[in-house]
Amino acid sequence: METSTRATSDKDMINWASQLFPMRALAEYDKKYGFYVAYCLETGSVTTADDMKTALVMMKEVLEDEVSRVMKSRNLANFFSTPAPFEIWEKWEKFAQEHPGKIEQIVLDLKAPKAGNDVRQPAARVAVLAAAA
Amino acid sequence: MSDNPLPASQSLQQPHKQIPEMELSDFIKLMKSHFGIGCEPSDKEYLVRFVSKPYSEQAESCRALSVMTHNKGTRLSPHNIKQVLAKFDISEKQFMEAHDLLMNKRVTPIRPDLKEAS
Repeated sequence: METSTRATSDKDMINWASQLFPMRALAEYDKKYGFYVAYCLETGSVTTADDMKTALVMMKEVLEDEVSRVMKSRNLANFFSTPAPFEIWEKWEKFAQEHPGKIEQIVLDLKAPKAGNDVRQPAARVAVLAAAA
Repeated sequence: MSDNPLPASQSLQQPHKQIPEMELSDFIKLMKSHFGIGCEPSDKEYLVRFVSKPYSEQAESCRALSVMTHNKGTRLSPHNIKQVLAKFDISEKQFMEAHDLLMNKRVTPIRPDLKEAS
């Protein structure tokens, strides 16, 4: 298994990542702290910002970094070790059912494992839901 | 998380304080000295990566996490800190004890002659 996985080319890795990571992100206003918070359900990644748009832009950058790194390390145990708290999944379900038209797709620009820092390729998609403030 | 904070009289009875926003440099120092979690820079200055032993991400037991800082890469929000603690299986109580130790080292003791000076 190790040999066949390692034989995967960089191009295949990008395709592999596109199918392996159908991720979702929820952004909402946190009244307690007074800023916007975005959560990735699958990875538990969190970003905070003064506005919704920035929180989601930051989430895109964090996920690009995380997915690019897992393509290199192949450590899925780490990648999926800490999903978002259950209450975030419940909120996603609720908002997604109530406002299915508000779900948007963002595309991650991934860095192939052996490519240079500036070489990125559009790949994995993230379904994004911005809850009302 | 409750939307209604406890009144001051009751907040004194809380088992431990809330996770605060922190300077990134303090957080890095605390995680390394108390929990053995390393930090490495990324190709973006406001994105940092925390890595646990054996500090090799190819190892299945290794846990690692990229965190987005704010205030031009100098501070970490409570939400980000909670995410780091969850990733490395550190309880909030353990963290706050370590945090208090770090902060107490900086507090100047109250001088008994403070009244006389005023």
